[in-house]
Amino acid sequence: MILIFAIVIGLVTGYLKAKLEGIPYRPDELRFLWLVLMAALPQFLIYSLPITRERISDQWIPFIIIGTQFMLLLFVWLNRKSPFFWLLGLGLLLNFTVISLNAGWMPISPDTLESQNVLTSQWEIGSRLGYSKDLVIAKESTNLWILSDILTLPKWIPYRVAFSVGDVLLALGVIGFLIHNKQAAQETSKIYFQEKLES
Amino acid sequence: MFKLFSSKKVFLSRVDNRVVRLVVTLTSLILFVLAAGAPCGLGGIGMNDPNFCYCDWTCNRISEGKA
Repeated sequence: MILIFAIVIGLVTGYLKAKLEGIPYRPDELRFLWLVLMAALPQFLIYSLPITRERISDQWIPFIIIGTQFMLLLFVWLNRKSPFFWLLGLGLLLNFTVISLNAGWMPISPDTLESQNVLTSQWEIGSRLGYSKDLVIAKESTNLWILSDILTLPKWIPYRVAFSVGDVLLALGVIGFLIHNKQAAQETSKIYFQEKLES
Repeated sequence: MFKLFSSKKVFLSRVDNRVVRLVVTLTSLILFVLAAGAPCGLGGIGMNDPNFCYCDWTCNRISEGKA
């Protein structure tokens, strides 16, 4: 939800910035979008669709998570010339690293769950958390704990959430990409100078 | 036949190319962040109400015996 919020922030800020500069709002065009679809579809089946997520064994989840993350890394690499994709890629790479080093799951510690008031009846050490990508692992047993879902929102925000450093970089990358409007600015100035030369 | 083609042309011209491109880019980014993060964006671990199965992070799989 917070990453979706990052898209909204980026979109609104980018649009307002373009309006102030008097240029059309046009974020860079992305290529190889089918890779995103290919990555999102299996995740939809294992996380969201009740019929499939209940039938797919937890043993398959790590393979699906790593496979889909790899597809997203490929997508970022193929679009590496797009603005702020280096930041998106870095965030994705950090998540990919910690997931790979923890048997294909994103670790979340009991301390984090307790800090978010998640009832102890809802989780168990060594088990998957709900229908998520997270596996409850004790801090001492987690590889690269610092990159796992350890960050939380301030107490005064009612939304309970845990996220990783990689997620923060992903959010910043998305915001940066949507605010960046250089292509439209360059095209507008090109048209302006062409008109000047012609007149 | 000619009329059919001409009417189709009028319909297409009504859709701004820039808007289509923006919608495609935004849809791709939404799918990207959902797949890169978690179904609940950054990985929601639920609301205060344990029975509120939002994005299924708080679905009680343990007590259901599915874990």
